[in-house]
Amino acid sequence: MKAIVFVKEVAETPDGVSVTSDGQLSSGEGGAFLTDPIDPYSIETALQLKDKSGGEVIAITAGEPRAEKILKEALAMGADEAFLVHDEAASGSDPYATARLLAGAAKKSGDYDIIVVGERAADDNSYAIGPALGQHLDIPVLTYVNEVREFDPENKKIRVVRSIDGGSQVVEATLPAVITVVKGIHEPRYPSLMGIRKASKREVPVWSIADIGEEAERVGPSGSPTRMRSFDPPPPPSGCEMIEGTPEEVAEQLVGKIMDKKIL
Amino acid sequence: MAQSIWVIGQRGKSGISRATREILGKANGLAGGDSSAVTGVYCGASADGVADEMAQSGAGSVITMTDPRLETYTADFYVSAISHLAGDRKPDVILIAATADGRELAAALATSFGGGAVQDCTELEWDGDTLLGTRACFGGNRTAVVENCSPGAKVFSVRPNSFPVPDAGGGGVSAEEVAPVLPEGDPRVKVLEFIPDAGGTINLLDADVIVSGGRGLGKAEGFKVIQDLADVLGGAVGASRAVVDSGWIAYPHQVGQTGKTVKPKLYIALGISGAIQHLAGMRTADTIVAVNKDENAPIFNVAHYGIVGDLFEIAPALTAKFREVLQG
Ligand SMILES: Cc1cc2nc3c(=O)[nH]c(=O)nc-3n(C[C@H](O)[C@H](O)[C@H](O)COP(=O)(O)OP(=O)(O)OC[C@H]3O[C@@H](n4cnc5c(N)ncnc54)[C@H](O)[C@@H]3O)c2cc1C
Ligand SMILES: Nc1ncnc2c1ncn2[C@@H]1O[C@H](COP(=O)(O)O)[C@@H](O)[C@H]1O
Repeated sequence: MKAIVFVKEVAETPDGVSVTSDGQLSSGEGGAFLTDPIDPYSIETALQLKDKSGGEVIAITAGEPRAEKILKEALAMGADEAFLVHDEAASGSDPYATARLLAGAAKKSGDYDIIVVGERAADDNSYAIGPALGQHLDIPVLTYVNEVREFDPENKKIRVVRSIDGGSQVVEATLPAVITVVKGIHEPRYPSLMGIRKASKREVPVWSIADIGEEAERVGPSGSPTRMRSFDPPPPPSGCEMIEGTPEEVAEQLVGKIMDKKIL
Repeated sequence: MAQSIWVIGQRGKSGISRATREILGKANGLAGGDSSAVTGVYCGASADGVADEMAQSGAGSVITMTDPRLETYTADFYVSAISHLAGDRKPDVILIAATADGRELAAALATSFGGGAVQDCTELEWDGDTLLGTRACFGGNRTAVVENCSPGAKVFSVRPNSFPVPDAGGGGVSAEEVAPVLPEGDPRVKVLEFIPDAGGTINLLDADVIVSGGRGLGKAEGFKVIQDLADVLGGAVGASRAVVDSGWIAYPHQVGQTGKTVKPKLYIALGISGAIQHLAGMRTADTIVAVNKDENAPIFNVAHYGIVGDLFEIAPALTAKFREVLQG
């Protein structure tokens, strides 16, 4: 069994993040970067599939060289291999250009049974990569997965529970497939000290866009169909009106205001 | 000439979903009231009543594609049907409600056109001939205005509750029926079962009113006062992660960065401190009321109305007063 997990480096806070003239997010160099908080859930999901079915877990990220750090965290948790997709021409890719890079990386890493990604990244929240990968690789996609019920790489079948509007949906698909996971799925394990020590000594191979069979125009800003015009803090709160009195007085006043303003 | 806008129709509990109607109304506004620019597109096993309902919300024409294999949404079949139709008719803009399935469809469809979707928009506006979508990043800590430069149709998904439901009018449009182009054979994804959220039969994402409880409830039984208030308001029950983690209520009720992002008309938070991760899921509610015994609780920074006090005294008083006013 082979599982690929795509992990992403994100800025810890949006404070140092800005938008380039090409309309892409730029994290600058100053701020702190970390593994997207959803990634440990994706890694844990892949590791549990490996615990059951044997095989290997490969962690891949597309990003800057410093993102090697998050791949080492994946290795420390138990991933077997890690690769960094990095190329000057690919910097400033929107999620759809990134999906091309990741699809190229998946093809390069050969016969996989499953690809695990997060439902959405913590920085751009774009809910794009999973469904876009399905199109590029022509394989089924199961989004918003909160439980893997059955995983049978022999017979090329997977059954999962999706967390969707109003309830849960049980769906079955053929493998290989992409799943996007939600944080409800499993508690991620902590890396062992031994794991951390071993991971720190590993070399992380770097793949260029040529290595994964992509072209410069199709990635980076020129290959990015979505462009941000602005990226600002939301408008400040209007100020909170405090309501005082006994519980009955308070209720009287608040309900009055809500009815007067026709909020309901 | 006005740009042609398609709105993909999703079904709700009864008829076309409320989110779809909101978007049809918005599309009509974007077309400057020229409903001939707005087309409702519907895929399903049958399309009874769909044309009228979409027309009543602002569509000037409706296209339906029916086939037993379109009974429940699957990306493969819906993308195939819609992308073939779009290839023939060449709409300028395609709008889809940003439900779980809607976001999946938007991203897959846009990728199939060689472009990308602008997801989860809470506002849409023209800049000249360019449609811009406004959306939240970093869990609501930033707002991005995004242009879609995709070749062909520009796909946007629109977050439910972002626009008012238009008053029903018009109607009387007969649907153009088109035979959907579908892949051969069985779908690669098979939908086996749908299990509605226990307790929360009212969907948090659809609710006009959400009453949420946090650790201030003290124990699971504390949710009684939350439920009572929600019941009288016809609202849904939300929760902070702290109480979900404590097992007082199930995960589908969680609001916040790792739970649901909601935008009701009224959000009442009781005994919730207002951690940044909770705010990420609810700060864009139209009106926020916070009840907390700590006057410095950060929830008051985003609330419109604040009450400092014990929720076990305030909530029942609110329930009683709302009952009196609403049920006379
Ligand atoms: C990666 C990550 C993701 C997270 N995702 C989420 C998420 O999606 N959603 C979420 O909610 N949290 C999330 N959290 C957790 C978040 O940081 C807070 O821990 C959580 O929101 C706190 O919940 P709370 O407000 O119920 O509890 P507390 O912070 O303990 O607040 C309880 C409040 O109740 C008040 N109170 C106590 N008794 C009463 C009373 N009798 N009457 C009135 N007020 C009373 C107290 O003054 C206090 O303000 C996340 C955290 C992390 C690290
Ligand atoms: N640059 C990247 N490298 C690797 N994985 C990524 C990258 N960007 C996004 N992903 C994956 O795609 C998921 C969804 O991201 P998005 O669709 O951009 O919100 C993330 O949780 C990651 O698993």
